[in-house]
Amino acid sequence: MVSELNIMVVDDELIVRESLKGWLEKFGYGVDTAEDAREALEKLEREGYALLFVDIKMPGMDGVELLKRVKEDQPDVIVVMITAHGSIESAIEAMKAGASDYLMKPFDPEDLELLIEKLAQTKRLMDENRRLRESYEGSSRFQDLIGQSGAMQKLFQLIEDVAPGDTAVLIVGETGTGKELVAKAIHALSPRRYAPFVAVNCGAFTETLLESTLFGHEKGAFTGAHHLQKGRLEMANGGTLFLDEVGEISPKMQVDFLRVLEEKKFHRLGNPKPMTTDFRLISATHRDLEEAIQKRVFRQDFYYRINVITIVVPPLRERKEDIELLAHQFLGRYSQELNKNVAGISKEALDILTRYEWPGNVRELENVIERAVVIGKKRKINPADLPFQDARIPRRPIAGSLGEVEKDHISDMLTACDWNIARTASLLGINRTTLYKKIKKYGFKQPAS
Amino acid sequence: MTSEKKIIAVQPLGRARRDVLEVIAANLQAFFQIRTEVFLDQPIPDGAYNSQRGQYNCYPIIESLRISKPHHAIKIIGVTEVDLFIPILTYVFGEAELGGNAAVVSTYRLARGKDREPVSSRRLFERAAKIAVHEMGHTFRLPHCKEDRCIMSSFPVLSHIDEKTIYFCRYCTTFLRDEYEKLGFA
Repeated sequence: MVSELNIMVVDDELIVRESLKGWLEKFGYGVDTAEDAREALEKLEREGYALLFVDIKMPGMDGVELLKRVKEDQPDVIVVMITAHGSIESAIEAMKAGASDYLMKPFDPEDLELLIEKLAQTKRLMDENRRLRESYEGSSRFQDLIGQSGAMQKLFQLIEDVAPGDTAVLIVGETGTGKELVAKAIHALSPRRYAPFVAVNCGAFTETLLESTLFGHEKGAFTGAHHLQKGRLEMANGGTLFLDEVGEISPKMQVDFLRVLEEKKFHRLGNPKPMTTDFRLISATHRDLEEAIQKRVFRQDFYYRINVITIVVPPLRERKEDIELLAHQFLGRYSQELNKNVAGISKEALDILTRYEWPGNVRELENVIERAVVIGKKRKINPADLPFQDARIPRRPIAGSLGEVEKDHISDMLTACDWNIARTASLLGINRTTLYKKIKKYGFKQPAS
Repeated sequence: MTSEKKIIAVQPLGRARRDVLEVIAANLQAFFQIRTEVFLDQPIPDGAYNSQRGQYNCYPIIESLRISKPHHAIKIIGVTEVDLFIPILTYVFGEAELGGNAAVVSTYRLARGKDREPVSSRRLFERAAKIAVHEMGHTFRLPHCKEDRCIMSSFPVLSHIDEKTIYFCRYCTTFLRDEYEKLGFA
């Protein structure tokens, strides 16, 4: 069992320390003890604990003083005061000094268990908040855009130059190069960073659905419009609107959207009253829009409007020196997320990764590393953990049809993921419903455990 | 897998009903696949009684069981009718050291219902067997389990005990098998 709370019991009575330690250990928690405040502070500085049980009455520095010192140095540590000699005054003083709870010895077993559950939940929420804060404040600068190559350094510089303004940006690059990450980085470095970043994948909607998604609709605007729905244009007010796969927008929608960009006004479907909105537009595409203009499927005026500044995201094969760095970044993330003890990548596996052409770019590399962490049995990723043993040669003889290749691949992934449907679907890049349909279609059966 | 050479000793401490002892012994043998033997009564060790609380401290009892464990027993479990506590808790139904070789269970609170009226023998047997299997599981290094139905999940109140079935979830079964392998009788 993985301990979610690292606990220290601080009490001058050995029997209490050992009793509480033994009880907590049966719940799978890691527990340490200290017999006085001095030892507790030393251990806290050295080890770090999420939760402290502190006896109020101790020789030398008492529990309330220890609580104050802990809260000064490490405010996130949860402290529960315990005492055999309860008094309202000491309880009030402890709670004012930041204690999360106050318990009288001996405890009712049910109360103690409920308290631990509550504190574990509090800790989870605190961790989640910190993670979100860090991801917003810190890593959001360039998000997961990683690279030491000259191409990426130029890209970072361009992002920094472009971010402070309000001009429309068009990001072009192959699938999986991280165009949305570039858009998020621009938003995070812009004056609009405290307002929403609203992303719309234009390729994922039919024309009418995209219209309703962008503009919103009033209740009863069309059959099935049971509720008023705000559109993404409205939601992005003050922030950044990111139109991914902008090359997929129909010519009619291009006209409608051009009007919004020129007038900064739009109508919700079913409501003649115009609404104003203010957003910065960032678009992205993997298509050659100039060719689309030649073929008359993309409007030139719309193109000029969305493409004041162009940012080109290089494909991974043009920055091979970043592959090792990226692979280790993904390895660190997934070994932690999947709680697997995979600490490195063998030289042979790294050679294969570096030689491969990566048609699916960084996203493909991420999927390959995640898969390797899932199926890997050793501390290092080895060639056998990669879907390709050689950069160009598939691992198994190619099956006769596309259907057979799909069947074999899904079967392999289900086995690798121990029939965890959510994880298999995620690695395959399809949703769970689709995976269930495929399982049924190919007649796969989960082996009895 | 039944180990012929090693047994689990069931040790009555002070007064303990013979039928309860037999039920506990049968269940431990069935669930751990280790032969059990019910021993003759021993007195509750001196020093276990706490006059302030009017209850018996589990720790001196477990210590005494550990010392008195017969050589051919790999584990020993004391069974008593007195009310037990550990210093930080107001009461316990039983206690064991994680990975130790001694445990103790009390039928004191198991014999009564919510309204303090005695429960049927059948209910008492069921509760005693569950607590004994749970505490014995701790001696095989099984921590509390998060699966509610598993016998190794925590049950601080009587109603929780009655909701359980005597069942090891697949994780606890695996951990138990690992522990058997470590002990060399898998």
